[in-house]
Amino acid sequence: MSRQLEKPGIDQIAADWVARLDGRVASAEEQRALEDWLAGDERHFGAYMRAHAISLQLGLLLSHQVKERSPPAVEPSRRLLSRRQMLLLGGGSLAAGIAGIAVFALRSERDYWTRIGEVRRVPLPDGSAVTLNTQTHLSVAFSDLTRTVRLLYGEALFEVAADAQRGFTVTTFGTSITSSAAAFAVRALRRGDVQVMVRDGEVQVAESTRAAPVSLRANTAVRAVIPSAPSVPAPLVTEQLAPIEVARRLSWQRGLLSFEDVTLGDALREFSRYSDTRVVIDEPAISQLRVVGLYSASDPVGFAKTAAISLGLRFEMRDGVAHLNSA
Amino acid sequence: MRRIDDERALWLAANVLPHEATLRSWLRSQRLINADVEDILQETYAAVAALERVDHIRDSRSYLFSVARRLMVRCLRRKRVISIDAMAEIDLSELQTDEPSPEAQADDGAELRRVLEQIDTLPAKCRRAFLLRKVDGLSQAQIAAEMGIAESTVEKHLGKALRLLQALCGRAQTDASRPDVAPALKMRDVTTTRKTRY
Repeated sequence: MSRQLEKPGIDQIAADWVARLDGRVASAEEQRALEDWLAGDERHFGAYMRAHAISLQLGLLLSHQVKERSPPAVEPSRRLLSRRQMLLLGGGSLAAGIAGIAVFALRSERDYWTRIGEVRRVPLPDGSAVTLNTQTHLSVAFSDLTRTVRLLYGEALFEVAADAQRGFTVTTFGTSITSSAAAFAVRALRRGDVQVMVRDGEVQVAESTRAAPVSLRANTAVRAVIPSAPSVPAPLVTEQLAPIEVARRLSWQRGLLSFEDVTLGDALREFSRYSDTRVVIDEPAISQLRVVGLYSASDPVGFAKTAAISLGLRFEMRDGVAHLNSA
Repeated sequence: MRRIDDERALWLAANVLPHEATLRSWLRSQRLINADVEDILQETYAAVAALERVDHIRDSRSYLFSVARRLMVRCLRRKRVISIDAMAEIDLSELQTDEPSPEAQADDGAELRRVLEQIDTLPAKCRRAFLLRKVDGLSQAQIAAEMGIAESTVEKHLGKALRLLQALCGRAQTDASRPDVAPALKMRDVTTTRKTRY
Protein backbone atom coordinates (compact mmCIF):
# COMPACT_ATOMS: atom_id res chain seq x y z
CA MET A 1 0.00 0.00 0.00
CA SER A 2 2.71 2.43 0.92
CA ARG A 3 4.27 1.66 -2.40
CA GLN A 4 1.14 2.80 -4.17
CA LEU A 5 0.97 5.99 -2.19
CA GLU A 6 4.53 6.96 -2.99
CA LYS A 7 4.31 5.77 -6.58
CA PRO A 8 2.98 8.91 -8.26
CA GLY A 9 6.18 10.52 -7.06
CA ILE A 10 8.45 8.55 -9.36
CA ASP A 11 7.67 10.47 -12.53
CA GLN A 12 7.97 13.74 -10.66
CA ILE A 13 11.29 12.89 -9.07
CA ALA A 14 12.57 11.71 -12.43
CA ALA A 15 11.49 14.97 -14.08
CA ASP A 16 13.18 16.97 -11.34
CA TRP A 17 16.42 15.07 -11.84
CA VAL A 18 16.37 15.47 -15.60
CA ALA A 19 15.56 19.18 -15.41
CA ARG A 20 18.21 19.73 -12.78
CA LEU A 21 20.98 18.13 -14.82
CA ASP A 22 19.81 19.42 -18.19
CA GLY A 23 22.80 20.87 -19.98
CA ARG A 24 25.29 20.70 -17.18
CA VAL A 25 27.60 18.27 -15.44
CA ALA A 26 26.40 16.61 -12.27
CA SER A 27 28.59 17.19 -9.23
CA ALA A 28 30.08 14.05 -7.71
CA GLU A 29 27.53 14.28 -4.93
CA GLU A 30 24.61 14.61 -7.35
CA GLN A 31 25.96 11.78 -9.47
CA ARG A 32 26.03 9.52 -6.42
CA ALA A 33 22.56 10.53 -5.31
CA LEU A 34 21.17 9.94 -8.81
CA GLU A 35 22.84 6.56 -9.10
CA ASP A 36 21.47 5.54 -5.71
CA TRP A 37 18.00 6.59 -6.71
CA LEU A 38 18.20 4.81 -10.06
CA ALA A 39 19.53 1.65 -8.46
CA GLY A 40 16.69 1.62 -5.95
CA ASP A 41 14.04 0.40 -8.38
CA GLU A 42 13.98 -0.36 -12.08
CA ARG A 43 10.91 1.81 -12.47
CA HIS A 44 13.09 4.76 -11.49
CA PHE A 45 15.36 4.15 -14.46
CA GLY A 46 12.33 3.81 -16.76
CA ALA A 47 10.81 7.04 -15.49
CA TYR A 48 14.14 8.83 -15.77
CA MET A 49 14.69 7.74 -19.36
CA ARG A 50 11.14 8.70 -20.25
CA ALA A 51 11.58 12.18 -18.78
CA HIS A 52 14.97 12.47 -20.44
CA ALA A 53 13.47 11.46 -23.79
CA ILE A 54 10.68 14.02 -23.44
CA SER A 55 13.06 16.76 -22.34
CA LEU A 56 15.49 16.19 -25.21
CA GLN A 57 12.83 15.85 -27.86
CA LEU A 58 10.91 18.93 -26.69
CA GLY A 59 14.18 20.86 -26.80
CA LEU A 60 14.88 19.69 -30.33
CA LEU A 61 11.35 20.49 -31.49
CA LEU A 62 11.54 23.95 -29.96
CA SER A 63 14.95 24.82 -31.36
CA HIS A 64 14.00 23.41 -34.73
CA GLN A 65 10.85 25.48 -34.81
CA VAL A 66 12.74 28.60 -33.95
CA LYS A 67 15.24 27.76 -36.65
CA GLU A 68 12.44 27.36 -39.15
CA ARG A 69 10.80 30.56 -38.07
CA SER A 70 10.80 32.54 -41.23
CA PRO A 71 10.21 36.19 -41.95
CA PRO A 72 7.83 37.78 -41.28
CA ALA A 73 7.32 36.54 -37.76
CA VAL A 74 4.18 34.55 -37.17
CA GLU A 75 1.30 36.98 -37.02
CA PRO A 76 -0.17 37.07 -33.52
CA SER A 77 -3.68 36.68 -34.92
CA ARG A 78 -2.93 33.07 -35.68
CA ARG A 79 -3.10 32.44 -31.99
CA LEU A 80 -6.77 33.32 -32.08
CA LEU A 81 -7.62 30.57 -34.51
CA SER A 82 -9.34 27.57 -33.10
CA ARG A 83 -7.41 24.40 -32.51
CA ARG A 84 -9.30 22.79 -35.32
CA GLN A 85 -8.45 25.56 -37.75
CA MET A 86 -4.85 25.40 -36.69
CA LEU A 87 -4.77 21.67 -37.27
CA LEU A 88 -5.94 22.36 -40.80
CA LEU A 89 -2.92 24.57 -41.24
CA GLY A 90 -0.76 21.57 -40.48
CA GLY A 91 0.66 20.35 -37.23
CA GLY A 92 4.15 21.63 -37.91
CA SER A 93 3.24 25.20 -38.63
CA LEU A 94 0.85 25.18 -35.73
CA ALA A 95 3.40 24.23 -33.15
CA ALA A 96 5.96 26.46 -34.80
CA GLY A 97 3.56 29.36 -34.53
CA ILE A 98 3.00 28.84 -30.86
CA ALA A 99 6.65 28.41 -30.04
CA GLY A 100 7.45 31.43 -32.19
CA ILE A 101 5.04 33.63 -30.31
CA ALA A 102 6.30 32.40 -26.98
CA VAL A 103 9.83 33.26 -27.96
CA PHE A 104 8.95 36.64 -29.37
CA ALA A 105 7.24 37.56 -26.15
CA LEU A 106 10.39 36.87 -24.18
CA ARG A 107 12.78 39.45 -25.54
CA SER A 108 13.16 41.75 -28.43
CA GLU A 109 15.65 40.29 -30.81
CA ARG A 110 16.78 40.97 -34.30
CA ASP A 111 17.14 37.97 -36.56
CA TYR A 112 19.46 37.64 -39.53
CA TRP A 113 19.67 34.79 -41.97
CA THR A 114 21.17 33.86 -45.30
CA ARG A 115 19.81 31.69 -48.07
CA ILE A 116 21.75 28.86 -49.59
CA GLY A 117 24.86 30.20 -51.34
CA GLU A 118 24.52 33.65 -49.79
CA VAL A 119 27.21 35.36 -47.71
CA ARG A 120 26.24 38.51 -45.84
CA ARG A 121 28.09 40.93 -43.59
CA VAL A 122 25.98 42.72 -41.00
CA PRO A 123 27.24 45.67 -38.93
CA LEU A 124 25.96 45.54 -35.36
CA PRO A 125 24.96 48.60 -33.28
CA ASP A 126 28.06 48.40 -31.05
CA GLY A 127 30.50 48.62 -33.96
CA SER A 128 31.00 44.87 -34.14
CA ALA A 129 30.23 42.98 -37.33
CA VAL A 130 29.03 39.52 -38.12
CA THR A 131 29.45 37.76 -41.45
CA LEU A 132 26.96 34.99 -42.09
CA ASN A 133 28.00 32.12 -44.31
CA THR A 134 25.51 30.17 -46.43
CA GLN A 135 22.26 29.00 -44.79
CA THR A 136 22.89 30.60 -41.46
CA HIS A 137 20.38 31.94 -39.00
CA LEU A 138 21.26 33.98 -35.97
CA SER A 139 19.54 36.20 -33.51
CA VAL A 140 21.09 39.30 -31.95
CA ALA A 141 19.98 40.52 -28.51
CA PHE A 142 21.86 43.51 -27.14
CA SER A 143 21.04 45.21 -23.89
CA ASP A 144 22.76 47.70 -21.61
CA LEU A 145 24.46 44.83 -19.85
CA THR A 146 25.03 42.14 -22.42
CA ARG A 147 25.74 41.52 -26.06
CA THR A 148 24.34 38.13 -26.91
CA VAL A 149 24.07 36.40 -30.26
CA ARG A 150 22.33 33.10 -30.65
CA LEU A 151 23.62 31.12 -33.60
CA LEU A 152 20.70 28.88 -34.41
CA TYR A 153 22.29 27.16 -37.33
CA GLY A 154 25.16 27.62 -39.72
CA GLU A 155 28.50 29.38 -39.69
CA ALA A 156 29.49 32.95 -38.97
CA LEU A 157 32.50 35.16 -38.39
CA PHE A 158 32.22 37.56 -35.47
CA GLU A 159 34.42 40.66 -35.38
CA VAL A 160 33.84 41.99 -31.91
CA ALA A 161 34.43 45.64 -31.05
CA ALA A 162 35.95 46.25 -27.63
CA ASP A 163 33.52 47.17 -24.88
CA ALA A 164 34.80 47.23 -21.32
CA GLN A 165 31.30 47.07 -19.86
CA ARG A 166 29.67 44.39 -21.93
CA GLY A 167 31.02 41.01 -22.90
CA PHE A 168 30.09 39.55 -26.25
CA THR A 169 28.62 36.06 -26.08
CA VAL A 170 27.67 33.69 -28.84
CA THR A 171 25.55 30.73 -27.78
CA THR A 172 24.89 27.74 -29.96
CA PHE A 173 23.81 24.16 -29.29
CA GLY A 174 24.89 24.14 -25.67
CA THR A 175 28.20 25.89 -26.25
CA SER A 176 28.89 29.52 -25.41
CA ILE A 177 31.77 31.59 -26.68
CA THR A 178 32.58 34.78 -24.79
CA SER A 179 34.97 37.58 -25.63
CA SER A 180 35.55 41.25 -24.95
CA ALA A 181 37.31 41.94 -28.24
CA ALA A 182 38.24 39.31 -30.81
CA ALA A 183 37.56 37.95 -34.27
CA PHE A 184 36.37 34.38 -34.32
CA ALA A 185 34.35 32.00 -36.45
CA VAL A 186 31.75 29.56 -35.16
CA ARG A 187 30.42 26.65 -37.12
CA ALA A 188 27.37 24.78 -35.84
CA LEU A 189 25.89 22.48 -38.45
CA ARG A 190 24.83 19.69 -36.14
CA ARG A 191 23.55 19.59 -32.63
CA GLY A 192 26.38 18.70 -30.31
CA ASP A 193 29.13 19.51 -32.76
CA VAL A 194 30.38 23.08 -32.56
CA GLN A 195 33.63 24.34 -34.04
CA VAL A 196 35.26 27.59 -32.98
CA MET A 197 38.29 29.22 -34.57
CA VAL A 198 39.92 32.41 -33.34
CA ARG A 199 41.57 34.78 -35.83
CA ASP A 200 42.44 37.66 -33.47
CA GLY A 201 42.22 38.23 -29.75
CA GLU A 202 41.10 35.70 -27.22
CA VAL A 203 37.84 33.94 -26.42
CA GLN A 204 36.49 31.64 -23.72
CA VAL A 205 34.68 28.54 -24.86
CA ALA A 206 32.31 26.98 -22.36
CA GLU A 207 30.57 23.78 -23.22
CA SER A 208 27.53 22.88 -21.19
CA THR A 209 28.74 19.45 -20.08
CA ARG A 210 32.07 20.81 -18.84
CA ALA A 211 32.72 22.68 -15.68
CA ALA A 212 35.56 24.98 -16.72
CA PRO A 213 35.70 27.09 -19.89
CA VAL A 214 38.63 26.75 -22.24
CA SER A 215 40.61 29.78 -23.28
CA LEU A 216 41.42 30.10 -26.98
CA ARG A 217 44.01 32.45 -28.37
CA ALA A 218 44.48 33.78 -31.90
CA ASN A 219 45.21 31.14 -34.51
CA THR A 220 43.71 28.27 -32.58
CA ALA A 221 40.60 26.22 -33.17
CA VAL A 222 38.57 23.92 -31.01
CA ARG A 223 35.80 21.47 -31.67
CA ALA A 224 33.24 20.88 -28.92
CA VAL A 225 31.45 17.59 -29.38
CA ILE A 226 28.77 16.93 -26.82
CA PRO A 227 29.04 13.26 -25.85
CA SER A 228 26.13 10.86 -25.92
CA ALA A 229 26.46 10.23 -22.20
CA PRO A 230 25.92 13.59 -20.51
CA SER A 231 27.93 12.65 -17.47
CA VAL A 232 31.15 12.29 -19.42
CA PRO A 233 32.81 15.59 -20.35
CA ALA A 234 33.70 15.84 -24.01
CA PRO A 235 37.32 16.03 -24.97
CA LEU A 236 37.93 19.55 -26.20
CA VAL A 237 40.69 19.23 -28.73
CA THR A 238 42.53 22.45 -29.34
CA GLU A 239 44.34 22.83 -32.61
CA GLN A 240 47.14 25.32 -33.30
CA LEU A 241 46.89 26.82 -36.78
CA ALA A 242 49.19 28.87 -38.98
CA PRO A 243 47.70 32.31 -39.80
CA ILE A 244 47.53 31.31 -43.46
CA GLU A 245 45.45 28.27 -42.51
CA VAL A 246 43.07 30.49 -40.54
CA ALA A 247 42.68 32.70 -43.59
CA ARG A 248 42.13 29.65 -45.78
CA ARG A 249 39.34 28.40 -43.53
CA LEU A 250 37.69 31.80 -43.77
CA SER A 251 37.83 31.96 -47.57
CA TRP A 252 34.05 31.44 -47.64
CA GLN A 253 33.81 35.17 -46.85
CA ARG A 254 34.88 35.78 -50.43
CA GLY A 255 32.59 33.09 -51.83
CA LEU A 256 35.44 30.65 -52.17
CA LEU A 257 36.02 27.16 -50.86
CA SER A 258 39.56 26.17 -50.14
CA PHE A 259 40.51 22.53 -49.70
CA GLU A 260 43.75 21.28 -48.28
CA ASP A 261 44.00 17.53 -48.69
CA VAL A 262 40.37 16.61 -47.97
CA THR A 263 38.49 13.68 -49.49
CA LEU A 264 36.40 14.26 -52.58
CA GLY A 265 33.35 13.11 -50.60
CA ASP A 266 33.93 15.74 -47.91
CA ALA A 267 34.58 18.42 -50.52
CA LEU A 268 31.29 17.66 -52.29
CA ARG A 269 29.46 17.67 -48.96
CA GLU A 270 30.90 21.11 -48.33
CA PHE A 271 29.77 22.29 -51.78
CA SER A 272 26.27 21.01 -51.07
CA ARG A 273 25.96 23.66 -48.35
CA TYR A 274 26.31 26.40 -50.96
CA SER A 275 24.02 25.31 -53.79
CA ASP A 276 21.32 22.87 -54.70
CA THR A 277 23.36 21.50 -57.57
CA ARG A 278 24.56 18.01 -56.77
CA VAL A 279 27.51 16.09 -58.06
CA VAL A 280 26.98 12.35 -57.86
CA ILE A 281 29.74 9.84 -57.25
CA ASP A 282 28.62 6.43 -58.50
CA GLU A 283 31.58 4.47 -57.15
CA PRO A 284 32.13 4.81 -53.38
CA ALA A 285 35.89 4.30 -53.63
CA ILE A 286 36.26 7.52 -55.61
CA SER A 287 34.94 9.60 -52.74
CA GLN A 288 38.07 8.73 -50.76
CA LEU A 289 40.39 10.42 -53.28
CA ARG A 290 41.97 13.61 -52.01
CA VAL A 291 41.62 17.08 -53.43
CA VAL A 292 43.45 20.40 -53.02
CA GLY A 293 42.67 23.87 -54.28
CA LEU A 294 40.62 27.04 -54.22
CA TYR A 295 37.19 26.97 -55.90
CA SER A 296 34.13 29.12 -56.31
CA ALA A 297 31.59 27.94 -53.73
CA SER A 298 28.72 28.50 -56.14
CA ASP A 299 30.15 26.30 -58.88
CA PRO A 300 30.21 22.63 -57.84
CA VAL A 301 30.12 21.53 -61.49
CA GLY A 302 33.24 23.55 -62.24
CA PHE A 303 34.87 21.92 -59.23
CA ALA A 304 33.82 18.45 -60.43
CA LYS A 305 35.32 19.10 -63.87
CA THR A 306 38.59 20.28 -62.36
CA ALA A 307 38.69 17.35 -59.95
CA ALA A 308 38.05 14.94 -62.81
CA ILE A 309 41.10 16.26 -64.62
CA SER A 310 43.40 16.28 -61.62
CA LEU A 311 42.29 12.88 -60.31
CA GLY A 312 41.99 11.16 -63.67
CA LEU A 313 38.23 10.65 -63.38
CA ARG A 314 35.47 10.79 -65.96
CA PHE A 315 33.04 13.69 -65.73
CA GLU A 316 29.68 13.49 -67.42
CA MET A 317 26.30 15.18 -67.32
CA ARG A 318 23.39 12.71 -67.32
CA ASP A 319 19.85 14.10 -67.27
CA GLY A 320 21.16 17.40 -66.03
CA VAL A 321 23.05 15.84 -63.11
CA ALA A 322 26.84 15.87 -62.87
CA HIS A 323 28.47 12.46 -62.34
CA LEU A 324 32.04 11.53 -61.47
CA ASN A 325 33.30 8.05 -62.29
CA SER A 326 36.57 6.28 -62.79
CA ALA A 327 37.83 6.74 -66.30
CA MET B 1 25.45 1.50 -13.78
CA ARG B 2 22.58 1.92 -16.16
CA ARG B 3 23.48 3.87 -19.21
CA ILE B 4 21.88 7.27 -19.56
CA ASP B 5 22.29 7.82 -23.19
CA ASP B 6 20.96 10.71 -25.29
CA GLU B 7 20.81 8.60 -28.39
CA ARG B 8 18.67 5.97 -26.69
CA ALA B 9 16.50 8.68 -25.14
CA LEU B 10 15.83 10.08 -28.62
CA TRP B 11 15.03 6.58 -29.84
CA LEU B 12 12.54 6.24 -27.00
CA ALA B 13 11.02 9.58 -27.93
CA ALA B 14 10.58 8.41 -31.52
CA ASN B 15 9.59 4.80 -30.91
CA VAL B 16 7.98 4.46 -27.50
CA LEU B 17 6.38 7.78 -26.70
CA PRO B 18 4.11 7.75 -29.78
CA HIS B 19 2.63 4.43 -28.62
CA GLU B 20 2.39 5.22 -24.95
CA ALA B 21 -1.26 6.34 -25.05
CA THR B 22 -2.35 3.17 -26.87
CA LEU B 23 -0.30 1.04 -24.54
CA ARG B 24 -1.73 2.76 -21.50
CA SER B 25 -5.32 2.29 -22.59
CA TRP B 26 -4.65 -1.33 -23.51
CA LEU B 27 -3.16 -1.97 -20.06
CA ARG B 28 -6.13 -0.26 -18.48
CA SER B 29 -8.48 -2.53 -20.35
CA GLN B 30 -6.81 -5.49 -18.64
CA ARG B 31 -7.29 -6.53 -15.06
CA LEU B 32 -5.04 -3.85 -13.70
CA ILE B 33 -5.36 -0.96 -11.36
CA ASN B 34 -3.96 2.38 -12.47
CA ALA B 35 -0.96 2.19 -10.18
CA ASP B 36 0.01 -1.09 -11.82
CA VAL B 37 -0.47 0.41 -15.27
CA GLU B 38 1.99 3.16 -14.43
CA ASP B 39 4.40 0.62 -12.92
CA ILE B 40 4.32 -1.48 -16.05
CA LEU B 41 4.84 1.55 -18.28
CA GLN B 42 7.87 2.63 -16.27
CA GLU B 43 9.21 -0.92 -16.35
CA THR B 44 8.63 -1.07 -20.08
CA TYR B 45 10.68 2.10 -20.56
CA ALA B 46 13.38 0.71 -18.28
CA ALA B 47 13.51 -2.59 -20.19
CA VAL B 48 13.77 -0.94 -23.59
CA ALA B 49 16.21 1.71 -22.37
CA ALA B 50 18.46 -1.00 -20.94
CA LEU B 51 18.63 -3.03 -24.16
CA GLU B 52 22.11 -3.41 -25.51
CA ARG B 53 20.90 -2.54 -29.00
CA VAL B 54 17.66 -1.44 -30.58
CA ASP B 55 18.55 -1.54 -34.25
CA HIS B 56 16.99 -4.98 -34.67
CA ILE B 57 13.56 -3.67 -33.65
CA ARG B 58 11.65 -3.15 -36.87
CA ASP B 59 8.17 -2.80 -35.48
CA SER B 60 8.56 -0.91 -32.24
CA ARG B 61 4.85 -0.97 -31.48
CA SER B 62 4.56 -4.76 -31.49
CA TYR B 63 7.81 -5.01 -29.62
CA LEU B 64 6.57 -2.67 -26.89
CA PHE B 65 3.33 -4.54 -26.50
CA SER B 66 5.18 -7.82 -26.11
CA VAL B 67 7.47 -6.33 -23.48
CA ALA B 68 4.54 -4.77 -21.66
CA ARG B 69 2.60 -8.03 -21.78
CA ARG B 70 5.50 -9.94 -20.28
CA LEU B 71 5.82 -7.35 -17.52
CA MET B 72 2.11 -7.43 -16.90
CA VAL B 73 2.11 -11.19 -16.46
CA ARG B 74 5.03 -10.85 -14.09
CA CYS B 75 3.20 -8.16 -12.16
CA LEU B 76 0.07 -10.27 -11.84
CA ARG B 77 2.03 -13.34 -10.86
CA ARG B 78 3.88 -11.38 -8.22
CA LYS B 79 0.65 -10.20 -6.71
CA ARG B 80 -1.00 -13.61 -6.90
CA VAL B 81 -4.35 -11.92 -6.85
CA ILE B 82 -5.81 -13.63 -9.85
CA SER B 83 -6.02 -17.18 -11.01
CA ILE B 84 -3.97 -18.71 -13.76
CA ASP B 85 -7.17 -18.87 -15.78
CA ALA B 86 -7.55 -15.15 -15.62
CA MET B 87 -4.03 -14.76 -16.82
CA ALA B 88 -4.79 -16.88 -19.82
CA GLU B 89 -7.67 -14.57 -20.58
CA ILE B 90 -5.45 -11.56 -20.95
CA ASP B 91 -6.55 -10.02 -24.12
CA LEU B 92 -4.09 -10.70 -26.87
CA SER B 93 -6.46 -9.91 -29.69
CA GLU B 94 -5.39 -6.31 -29.73
CA LEU B 95 -1.79 -7.32 -30.25
CA GLN B 96 -2.51 -9.74 -33.02
CA THR B 97 -5.12 -7.95 -35.01
CA ASP B 98 -4.76 -4.27 -34.39
CA GLU B 99 -2.32 -2.87 -36.88
CA PRO B 100 -1.02 0.61 -36.20
CA SER B 101 -3.60 3.04 -37.46
CA PRO B 102 -2.49 5.15 -40.41
CA GLU B 103 -2.29 8.30 -38.33
CA ALA B 104 -0.15 6.52 -35.75
CA GLN B 105 2.24 5.50 -38.47
CA ALA B 106 2.23 8.87 -40.14
CA ASP B 107 3.88 11.06 -37.58
CA ASP B 108 6.03 10.04 -34.64
CA GLY B 109 6.50 13.63 -33.55
CA ALA B 110 2.79 14.40 -33.28
CA GLU B 111 2.56 13.48 -29.62
CA LEU B 112 5.17 15.94 -28.44
CA ARG B 113 4.00 18.65 -30.80
CA ARG B 114 0.57 18.24 -29.24
CA VAL B 115 2.21 18.67 -25.85
CA LEU B 116 4.06 21.77 -27.03
CA GLU B 117 0.77 23.33 -28.07
CA GLN B 118 -0.08 23.35 -24.40
CA ILE B 119 3.08 25.10 -23.36
CA ASP B 120 1.03 28.22 -22.71
CA THR B 121 -0.79 26.40 -19.93
CA LEU B 122 2.39 26.33 -17.85
CA PRO B 123 2.70 28.92 -15.09
CA ALA B 124 4.38 32.00 -16.58
CA LYS B 125 7.71 31.71 -14.77
CA CYS B 126 7.96 27.98 -15.44
CA ARG B 127 7.35 28.58 -19.10
CA ARG B 128 9.83 31.41 -19.33
CA ALA B 129 12.57 29.44 -17.57
CA PHE B 130 11.86 26.41 -19.74
CA LEU B 131 12.02 28.40 -22.98
CA LEU B 132 15.18 30.23 -21.92
CA ARG B 133 16.72 26.83 -21.29
CA LYS B 134 15.44 25.01 -24.35
CA VAL B 135 15.22 27.73 -26.97
CA ASP B 136 17.94 30.16 -25.93
CA GLY B 137 20.15 27.43 -24.54
CA LEU B 138 20.88 29.46 -21.41
CA SER B 139 22.39 27.71 -18.41
CA GLN B 140 20.55 27.72 -15.09
CA ALA B 141 22.88 30.45 -13.83
CA GLN B 142 22.20 32.56 -16.93
CA ILE B 143 18.45 32.03 -16.54
CA ALA B 144 18.71 33.10 -12.91
CA ALA B 145 20.48 36.30 -14.00
CA GLU B 146 18.01 36.91 -16.82
CA MET B 147 14.95 36.46 -14.61
CA GLY B 148 16.47 38.00 -11.50
CA ILE B 149 15.76 34.99 -9.32
CA ALA B 150 17.89 32.47 -7.41
CA GLU B 151 19.41 29.55 -9.25
CA SER B 152 17.65 27.13 -6.94
CA THR B 153 14.35 28.73 -7.93
CA VAL B 154 15.24 28.30 -11.60
CA GLU B 155 15.84 24.64 -10.91
CA LYS B 156 12.40 24.36 -9.30
CA HIS B 157 10.73 26.10 -12.25
CA LEU B 158 12.49 23.86 -14.76
CA GLY B 159 11.59 20.76 -12.78
CA LYS B 160 7.98 21.81 -12.55
CA ALA B 161 7.80 22.64 -16.26
CA LEU B 162 9.08 19.21 -17.20
CA ARG B 163 6.80 17.49 -14.68
CA LEU B 164 3.75 19.21 -16.10
CA LEU B 165 4.75 18.66 -19.72
CA GLN B 166 5.63 15.00 -19.26
CA ALA B 167 2.31 14.44 -17.49
CA LEU B 168 0.62 15.48 -20.73
CA CYS B 169 2.53 12.88 -22.73
CA GLY B 170 0.99 9.56 -23.54
CA ARG B 171 -2.47 10.62 -22.49
CA ALA B 172 -5.11 10.80 -25.15
CA GLN B 173 -5.94 14.29 -26.30
CA THR B 174 -9.44 14.27 -24.91
CA ASP B 175 -8.52 13.48 -21.35
CA ALA B 176 -5.28 15.40 -21.26
CA SER B 177 -6.66 17.73 -18.63
CA ARG B 178 -7.60 14.77 -16.48
CA PRO B 179 -4.71 12.47 -17.18
CA ASP B 180 -5.50 9.87 -14.61
CA VAL B 181 -9.04 9.11 -15.63
CA ALA B 182 -9.32 5.86 -17.48
CA PRO B 183 -11.84 5.78 -20.33
CA ALA B 184 -13.71 2.89 -18.73
CA LEU B 185 -13.30 2.32 -15.05
CA LYS B 186 -13.08 -1.26 -13.92
CA MET B 187 -14.52 -2.41 -10.65
CA ARG B 188 -11.09 -2.66 -9.09
CA ASP B 189 -10.15 0.83 -10.12
CA VAL B 190 -13.08 2.17 -8.22
CA THR B 191 -12.10 0.39 -5.05
CA THR B 192 -8.55 1.65 -5.23
CA THR B 193 -7.65 4.96 -3.74
CA ARG B 194 -6.27 6.80 -6.69
CA LYS B 195 -4.14 9.77 -6.23
CA THR B 196 -4.52 12.53 -8.75
CA ARG B 197 -1.18 13.04 -10.38
CA TYR B 198 -1.58 16.60 -11.48
